[in-house]
Amino acid sequence: MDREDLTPAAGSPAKPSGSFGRLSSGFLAVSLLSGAALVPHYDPAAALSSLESIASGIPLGAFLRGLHAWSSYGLLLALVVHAVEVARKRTEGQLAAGVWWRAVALLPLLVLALLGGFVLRGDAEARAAADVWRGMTSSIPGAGPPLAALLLGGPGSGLGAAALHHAGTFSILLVILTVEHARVVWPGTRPSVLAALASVGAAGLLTVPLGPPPPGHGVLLGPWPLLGLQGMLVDLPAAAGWIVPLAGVLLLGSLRGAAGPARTAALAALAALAAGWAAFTLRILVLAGH
Amino acid sequence: MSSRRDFLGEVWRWTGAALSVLGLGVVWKSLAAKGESREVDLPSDLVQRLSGDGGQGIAVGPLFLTGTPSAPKALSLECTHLGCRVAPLPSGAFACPCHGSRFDSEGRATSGPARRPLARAVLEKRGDRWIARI
Amino acid sequence: MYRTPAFVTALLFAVAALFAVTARESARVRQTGSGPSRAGGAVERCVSCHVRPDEDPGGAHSRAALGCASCHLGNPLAFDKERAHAGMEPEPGALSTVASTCGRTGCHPREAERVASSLMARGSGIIGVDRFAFGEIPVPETADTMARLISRDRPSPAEDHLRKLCAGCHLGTRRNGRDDAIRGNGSGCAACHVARRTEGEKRPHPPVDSRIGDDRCFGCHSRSGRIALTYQGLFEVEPDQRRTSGTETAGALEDGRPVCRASADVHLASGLGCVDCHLHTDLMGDGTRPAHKEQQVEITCEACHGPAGPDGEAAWREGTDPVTRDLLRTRKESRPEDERVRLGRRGTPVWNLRPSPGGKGWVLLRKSDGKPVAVKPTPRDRNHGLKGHERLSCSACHAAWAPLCTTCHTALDPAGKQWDFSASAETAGRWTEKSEGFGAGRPALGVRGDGAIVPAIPGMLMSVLPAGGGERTVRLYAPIEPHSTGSRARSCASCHSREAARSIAGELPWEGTRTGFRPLSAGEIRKVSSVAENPAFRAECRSDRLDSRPPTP
Repeated sequence: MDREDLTPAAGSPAKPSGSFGRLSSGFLAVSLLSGAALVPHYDPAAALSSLESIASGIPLGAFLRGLHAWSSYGLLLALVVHAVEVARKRTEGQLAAGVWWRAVALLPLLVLALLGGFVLRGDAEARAAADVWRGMTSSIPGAGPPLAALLLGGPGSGLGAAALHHAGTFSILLVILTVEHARVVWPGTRPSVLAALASVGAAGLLTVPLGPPPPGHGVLLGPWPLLGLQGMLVDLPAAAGWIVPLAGVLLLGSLRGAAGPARTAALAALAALAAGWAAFTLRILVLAGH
Repeated sequence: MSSRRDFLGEVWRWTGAALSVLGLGVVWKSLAAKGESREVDLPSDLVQRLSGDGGQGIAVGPLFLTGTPSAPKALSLECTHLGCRVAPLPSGAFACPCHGSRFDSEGRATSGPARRPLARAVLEKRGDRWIARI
Repeated sequence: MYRTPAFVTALLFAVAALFAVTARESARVRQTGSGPSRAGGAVERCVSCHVRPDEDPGGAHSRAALGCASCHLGNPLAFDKERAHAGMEPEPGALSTVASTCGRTGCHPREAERVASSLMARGSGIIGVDRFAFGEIPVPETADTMARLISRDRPSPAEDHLRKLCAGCHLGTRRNGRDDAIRGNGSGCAACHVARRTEGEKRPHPPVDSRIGDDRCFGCHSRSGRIALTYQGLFEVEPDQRRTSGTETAGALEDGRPVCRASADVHLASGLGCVDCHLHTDLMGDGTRPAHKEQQVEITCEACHGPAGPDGEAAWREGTDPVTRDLLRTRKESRPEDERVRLGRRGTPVWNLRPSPGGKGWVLLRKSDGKPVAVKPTPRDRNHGLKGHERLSCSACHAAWAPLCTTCHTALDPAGKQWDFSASAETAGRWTEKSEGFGAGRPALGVRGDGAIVPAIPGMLMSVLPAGGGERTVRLYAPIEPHSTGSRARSCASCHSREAARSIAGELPWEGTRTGFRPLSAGEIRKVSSVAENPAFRAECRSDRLDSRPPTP
């Protein structure tokens, strides 16, 4: 990586590319702090039991878990809107190519972190999600099986690897890549307070599901951001499971430097992908009988 | 002078690249060392319970036992699509809860995204115990 | 975006949420129990709240050892009632979930599977006979089961009859809150292994064990062949009959049926209960799918009283029945490998029958308390070696009496409603049974397919009036072990006179409730009655040792 990557391409100091970027930093801060508060109560060897304990055994445990979950979902939503914001304002040129691509990598990294969090529940849905994650990763030609072992541990291993990556690897990378492209270490007061208030509101008023799904449902659903992918895998070949997200990331990344018809085509492809994702989300929900 | 610095810079860079490749290789090797097949010990009283008349089989961990106590058969319950644990149905068929694949009682894929049949474990008798290898 | 309206909106949202959190938190504190959070070495939060001593079944199934969820399912990890009780099994032992409760790996999987294939669960015998009586099948045999029958969409008349009058005794039928004599215990395993719950507000957890009292058999087996009634020396009468019969009345059963007293079974007088004689395979099956009860019941009179046949006795080392070995292990007993053991008809050891400590004869241990009861061997005397009596079963002579039902009119009232055990609700159509009198007397004798002569009682003497169909009158006799054993056998004269010989054949003509079961033929009746005219008969018959009293009552 060249040092030159860190200097803005346009030469002049970068202008903030939108308020949702700062909001996502706020959500990231809330998510990291609430996650750290959950660490002493979570046991990967007794995942479901310790989560039940968090949910109703310890004082304010459910609230803390809600705070962590909703701030993380808030982070994802804010990040997606931030990406739309950047594309609309065409501010991606403010970042050097390497920084831009690493910033784009935040999106798949965050999804992996969320998937890790879902898997850490340890209930039937979480186990199924872990199985699919492993199966999906293993099916990547060449690097698949070692990559799956890196992310989830060997076949038959517990949730230790997933827990360490969730709280460690993914969190560290999320922070580094956020700081790198935002060029600020601490999120501002206003975004942090707004993110915290929104997370507190959601955590207090909504519950985060846990435990065995109600009997009678034939389909176990994965985390909601990935339901579109689950739906796709019902009808499309298994390779779609990594080709489609990879295509999405490459299309987003390719916006930098693309102009005219090429940019329009990339945006149209991204829009089509988002619509397909939504349609397949509906498809799996219908299959599950919701 | 400048060319010497350039040269040293190149040496550092190439050494770094070589170390990265080496590091990746080490990680790769350590991850690929996981054994390919697993052995599952089948409790003999479970095998004894097999009726052999087409009655309900018995789920033991990742396996589903059918057949007779003297000649048991074991199907892997791992969906051949993406690895979810399939659920035995009262009809004798199997359903995957992740993407809706169905398999018949012999493990053949009948509908949904899975194409390959459920794997058959190799059963081996050691003393009075049965060992399944998947 | 970071202006006052956004801030105020988010603040209001958060404040509302904090109120919700406070409410939820106080509910959580109220709901969280203060008891232990583990049972039997595993996390089990049910016992945090369920701490009352009367919520503990005790024994091997105690709360401390197994917790609650091992049997009652639900979510043992959850702290709050709603989540903990989700997916609970209100009737542990019910056959539909038995594989996850009693039959789970490590507990009683083999027994659970055997029970599911046993006659008490399948009910194939009663289904076959009922459908045969209704004219729906040509022979009284079927592989149909109650489980299939009660899930069928359009039941035939016989199936509707079974669902309303018979399915209650089927082991797979859930209790569904019914607290009567039949379903009071629950269904599946619990029907026998869980004592009847006490009525009223307080319902302490009954013990769950293998000490099965006769009361647990009584609910179902006091009907149809009524062996549980007969064993206790009771026979059912019609309400108006009680006043006129002149026999000793014994009040009414819990379900209101009036009964009179006759002689009890001699085994009852020795303190033996149902399970003391009946093997685990008699009750829970052995994995085969019998069509009728005599195919499931292994125990024979000869197993205890002898003479044991060539396959009737072995050394423990030769016995391979794993369930019996498990059974002994759980009772912390072991038998010397070279000790002799008597066997049931299919080779299952009668494990509680032991060579008597004196070295001569056998003693039967009572399963409830282990008390030994001396077994009298069959005497090797002239009465037991009489020429021409080789085909007689023990009970053909030793059954003192059996319940007799002279007529029964079964009709369907389409306008009425009746509890349907398959729907667990009242459904259209009410079956009524009207009898012209119950009684008790010497059973008739019939000939089984294998030639053996056994007691026979009217199984279904009835006129069936299914709605729409014409009346159909059937006279069926069923082979039975009446369970009214007397130590004295019936007298010679009770068979060997012209009068008696005709009456022991029953009310001819009749059909058997088993393929091959038939009345005595005219030739056989003639042969029995002609014995009385033989001058040697009076000299040979040792009537002094026989029961010459008139049949009861």
